[in-house]
Amino acid sequence: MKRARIPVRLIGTIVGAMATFVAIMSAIGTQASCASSYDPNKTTAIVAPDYEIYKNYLDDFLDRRCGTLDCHGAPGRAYRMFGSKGLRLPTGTLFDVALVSGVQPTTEAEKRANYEGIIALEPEEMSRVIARNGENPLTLEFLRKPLGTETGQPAPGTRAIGERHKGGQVLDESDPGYRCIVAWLQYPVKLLPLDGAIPRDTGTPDTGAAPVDAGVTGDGSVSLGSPDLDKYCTQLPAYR
Amino acid sequence: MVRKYLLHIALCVGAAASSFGTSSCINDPVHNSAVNALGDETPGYPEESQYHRPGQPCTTCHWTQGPGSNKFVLAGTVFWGQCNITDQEALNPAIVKAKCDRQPVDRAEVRVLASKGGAKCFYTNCAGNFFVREDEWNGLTYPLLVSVSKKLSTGQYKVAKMSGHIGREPSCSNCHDNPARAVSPGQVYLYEYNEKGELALPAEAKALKCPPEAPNTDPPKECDL
Repeated sequence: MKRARIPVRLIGTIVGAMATFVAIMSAIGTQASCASSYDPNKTTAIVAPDYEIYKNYLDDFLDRRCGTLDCHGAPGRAYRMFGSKGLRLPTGTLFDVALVSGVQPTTEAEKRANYEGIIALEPEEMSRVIARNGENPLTLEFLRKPLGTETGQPAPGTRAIGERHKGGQVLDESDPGYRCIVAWLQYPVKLLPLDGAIPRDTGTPDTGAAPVDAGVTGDGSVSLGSPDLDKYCTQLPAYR
Repeated sequence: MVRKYLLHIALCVGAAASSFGTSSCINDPVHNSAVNALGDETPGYPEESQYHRPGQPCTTCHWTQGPGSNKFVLAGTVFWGQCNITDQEALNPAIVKAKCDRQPVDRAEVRVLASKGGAKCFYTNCAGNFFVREDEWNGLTYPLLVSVSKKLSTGQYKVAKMSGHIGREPSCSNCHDNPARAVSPGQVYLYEYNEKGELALPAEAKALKCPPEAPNTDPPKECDL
């Protein structure tokens, strides 16, 4: 009986591939073993957007638009919202009945948690966006997702700039809510720590622009500090 | 010899593919666990019927993976009153059931406005259940706005509107379960407790007997908008 012969070239190729695999795995192992150990004092510096504008204008809008219990008002979401009509901030009581969904108004602590939740999605990218005064905000997934459709494909007659979003498209570029978010990201901020939650690194780069405080303008109207903030964010309380 | 090895390899690959395929079809542990967590049928309601398991998340079973035979795109149960129990009572499932799940509303009108697909109105049955099969509302697209109303014996309507919208959850009770707490506003209800802590329900607010104990009047499934 004639025995089939395996070509020497094939054996060489297999041995070569195995050697490459072993080399890569060993390199990965070496890297891992050389990784620095956990440092509990190490912090990540961030440049955060303005909290007051978020609290007074955006939180309620985002809660209505995104924070239902079956969407981002669910505990397991990466972007997770707390609010009066959706998920409530845990209070540590039995069954968490101190704050009940649909009963008490949204608390300051819940708004703060929502604000920090947005930043915590992509803290480094948020810092970059704020540091460049909000230019090109679509590098943030927080903005790309609500512009995207459920399939990731653009709706007929529209262009696709968003990212696939299981809840479908909930914002578009002409939406006052979207314009308010963009104006909020463009608003120059003071570099402050997040109430100690994420300690500030003194080496944090400045945004380069002086913070603009809200105040009374020449015609007597109250300005939030930028025309877009005045134009879009002030519409939001009556807007769904 | 080579042919023999090839045959072995083909058999192994086939067996592995077959076992993976089988497990993905009938062995989803997350789904199985959700179905099992529903427990036994609710006493007093005919099993495996449109009247069974009031207040439970319908689409756990009535969805793509089954085991329910119909796929629902929206379903739930309407109750007369709010469920109001203490922290301590909430620890006892029997008390939760006794105080919260016993008064379903027969012939409540559930009005649904879809973001695409128009609006429709559905009646609840004697178990308080309503359901919309996939083929009963083509083009239904979430999010939805929903209100519930009931024509009382006085001729007046009692109406309860959802303060928010439904983003994409087809089962009411996946969000509206008892007791009301941080992650749930409680069951879907028409009347809530007043400032004195009283639940002032109308006289007709009592649990009805459902088929087969009571005759099935077979009300129309859809109502006027």
